[in-house]
Amino acid sequence: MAGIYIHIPYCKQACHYCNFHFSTDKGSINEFVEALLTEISLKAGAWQDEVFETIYFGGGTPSILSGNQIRSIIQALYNQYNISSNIEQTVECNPDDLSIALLKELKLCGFNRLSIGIQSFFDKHLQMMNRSHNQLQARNAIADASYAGFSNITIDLIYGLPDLSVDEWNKNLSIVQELQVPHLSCYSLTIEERTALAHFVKQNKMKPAEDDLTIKQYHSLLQWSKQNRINQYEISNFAKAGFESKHNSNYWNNQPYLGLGPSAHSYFQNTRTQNKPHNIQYIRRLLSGQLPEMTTELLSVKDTFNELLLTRLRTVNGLNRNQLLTFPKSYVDHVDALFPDFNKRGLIEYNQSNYVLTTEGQMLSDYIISSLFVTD
Amino acid sequence: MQHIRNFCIIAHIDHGKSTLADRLLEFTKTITERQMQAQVLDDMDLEREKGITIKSHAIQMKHIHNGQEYILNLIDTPGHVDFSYEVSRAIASCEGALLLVDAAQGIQAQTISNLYLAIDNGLEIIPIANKIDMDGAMIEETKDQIVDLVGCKREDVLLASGKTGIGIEEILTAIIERIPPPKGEPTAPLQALIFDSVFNSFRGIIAYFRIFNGELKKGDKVKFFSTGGEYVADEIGVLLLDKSPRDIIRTGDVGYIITGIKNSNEVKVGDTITTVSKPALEPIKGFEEVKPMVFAGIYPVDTDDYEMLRESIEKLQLNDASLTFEPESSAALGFGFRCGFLGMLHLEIIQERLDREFDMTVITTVPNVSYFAYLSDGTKLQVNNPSELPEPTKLDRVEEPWISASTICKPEFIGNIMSLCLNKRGILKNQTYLTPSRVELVFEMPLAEIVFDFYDKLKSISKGYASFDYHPLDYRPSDLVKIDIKLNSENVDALSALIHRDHAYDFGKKICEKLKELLPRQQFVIAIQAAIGAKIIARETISAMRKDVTAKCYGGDISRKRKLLEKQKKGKKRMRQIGSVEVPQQAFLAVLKLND
Repeated sequence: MAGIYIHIPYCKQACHYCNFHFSTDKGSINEFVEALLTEISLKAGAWQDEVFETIYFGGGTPSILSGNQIRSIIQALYNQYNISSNIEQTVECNPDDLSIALLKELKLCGFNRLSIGIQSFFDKHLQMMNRSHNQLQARNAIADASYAGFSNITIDLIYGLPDLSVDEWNKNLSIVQELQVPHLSCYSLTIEERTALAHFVKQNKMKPAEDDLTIKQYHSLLQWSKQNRINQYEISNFAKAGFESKHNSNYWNNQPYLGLGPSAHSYFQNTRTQNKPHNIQYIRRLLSGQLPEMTTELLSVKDTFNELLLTRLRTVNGLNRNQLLTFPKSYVDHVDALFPDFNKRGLIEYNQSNYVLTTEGQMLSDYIISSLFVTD
Repeated sequence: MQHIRNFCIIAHIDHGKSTLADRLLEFTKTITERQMQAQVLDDMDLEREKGITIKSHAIQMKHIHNGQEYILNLIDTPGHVDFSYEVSRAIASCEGALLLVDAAQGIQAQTISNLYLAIDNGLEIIPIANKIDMDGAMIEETKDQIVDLVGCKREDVLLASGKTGIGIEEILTAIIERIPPPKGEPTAPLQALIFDSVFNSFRGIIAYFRIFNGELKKGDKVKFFSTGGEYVADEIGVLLLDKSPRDIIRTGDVGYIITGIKNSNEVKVGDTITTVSKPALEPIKGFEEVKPMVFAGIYPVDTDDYEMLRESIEKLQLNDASLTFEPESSAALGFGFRCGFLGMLHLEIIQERLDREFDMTVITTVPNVSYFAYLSDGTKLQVNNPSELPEPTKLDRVEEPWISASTICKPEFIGNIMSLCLNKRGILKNQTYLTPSRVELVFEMPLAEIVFDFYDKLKSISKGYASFDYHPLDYRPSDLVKIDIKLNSENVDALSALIHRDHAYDFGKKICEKLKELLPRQQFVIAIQAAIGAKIIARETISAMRKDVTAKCYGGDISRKRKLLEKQKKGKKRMRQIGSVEVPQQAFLAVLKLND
């Protein structure tokens, strides 16, 4: 179950909360696509033994590319890699980019899953986050996508915004239901370092939402998901049965993936490699026929163990205890020793050999997971 | 002896003492330019950065004047208020002093107190207006100030620039012509004043001295008056750029002695060296045991580093006898040391040297001065630690050390400085206009009041212009209380403080507020309380953390997040556990930063 991730590192404008790698200087896009095509070719040989079940275009903003550019990338992938006929092929889009023409082109390129960055159906939130679209474009994008024949649509929403009431949040969720969107990613706003938001908070220009309010919104979300049978399968992900993201689930199932483009990560046999997050250097290297600069990290047994905790405990199915038994006994003992206290505090349960976080536990997942981490 | 001149330089920090010293050394060819490191006399990194000389040195120059070779001994003086006794011994070793005043800044408090000390010791003062090449130089005003202070003639004031070398030759001439040669009896029993000492890891303690009477030969059996210790002068010599061994040092001259002493406690600044075979009847006047004035607990960040911390402090003490320490333990911090310092700057220097020279990051507890507690039964106890304060029921009274503090500033800041000092329980003793634009204010105030945020406040209310100096006066009764800090009802002994009752509520409130800012939220509510005995005087609450969750965890997020969480976890390991509450190290320093 291998996956391919393509990072398109360009955006029209910078969202205030985003700390991913992107540039708003679009002057180099054409050269970037050429460089990406070169990277696709250079890395093909090493990945010949894999059959890829998922392709995911993320960013940045993949929908910033022209239909032709997207098509050339897809063609290169299909020509040089073993792509399963049962492929899940996702592209992230901004609502304001989604013309009917582009949607049709995406469909022709084989995309069968659209991820639309909605974030909120209220203009005041979109402006506060410096998104490039408005709420009308958001609704239209979803409708147009269905019209163009996309049935597997996912949208992103953010809760825990400084200016988001519980009522507004519930309204956002009811629109999702109205528009019959089968998959939803809901992110609790994280104020990342070196973002505009962090700066505003530091300067007291913005006050982060109270924990209690954010937690209320999370509880509303869980209640809504149960009522509408859009089931939670990971802390931030909800889907109707059968619509769970295969690509993202791979990450949580320790499957290999190939990342292409600046800042993209690859993972293969306990080795994680990252392309240097630098557009111009990426382009320069590849256009002169060299692979981009990469950092490689060989995961130790301890790293692998900690990542297993980190990914599995965030899923609704949880962490299977039998999976732990392949690790040193002291690691398992560490988890066993801490479990009773977390259990008593109502943060973790143990069901049919699985450790599963409770709702309260999910909201404190970083704290619980890092407590369970094995350290030197 | 007629051709020896012993002198020091009195100057404020940054007024160009080190640069001028460099020029003198260059001009007299004591060092070549190639040997020239900028500011030769300050050879500790820390000194260079702080712009102060922490440990004094001496250096000998030769200069030919009117066909005659003269020996000029420059005795360097430490430049900070905490080291006033060492300055006094350096001054006592000289016949003259260069009074160096930055012509752009005018005279500062410390310069004045050292100047008076020099005048009291009968030193010939050679006033110099320095940095005259600078744009802001106010040469005439500076001359006025100097004439007012020293009572010299205007034409006695030399003009110089250490940077460009203007006036260096005139200064050398003035040293020879104006400063009297040393007096003394070459055939009398030896009396040599120790004005400084340094530790060398191969040679042991090297003591610097000035001979007032008699002479010292290599191999002499010598005796130190105050300690009574007897040693053999294994090596004696004079100080050029490096040590230069000699067979004999004569009356009036300055030199060093190595006797193989390894323990800095045996060599005390201000002590007198004499010979065993022909001992002097009495020591040179003015010896004092330097006593630490400020005490604080020093603890290793990692409790396993206790032994290493002990070794590091022991090594520092070799070089710095004014640093004292004894083991103490804290429920919050584990094993550490109660250290005694000359003052707050001394404390800071030790902390930084531990960090830089020994890679030891330490937690320092609330500093306090040394008190005397008198019990109802008449017993007198020294209290260097809040936990040593006896129960109120047994206590008759407590006495605290007072200082005489002097500050010099522009008249526009008088109001601010006065209210600061009065707030700090100061009593104004004197107000003198040195010149129309410079006022000296003299206060008596408790030493304890300059331990917390005094220097920073003084600087900020005077826009950095006020200078400050102090010397200890006496002990006076004090209404002292012990404030305890509690986290979820658990006492944090490392945060206990001894505070005057008038300041107790304010202090308690501020420290609770600061802790609220510094303690990370935890999965439960944390109550922070300040208490005097059983009485709670301040309280803050930190609400429980109920949300700690990563939003996205795909691809590269996984390793990024794992590393972040691992790093946080490592940081937590370094936290101290008070009951169930995890306390980061910086919280223990909260009291030092109450006004940040």
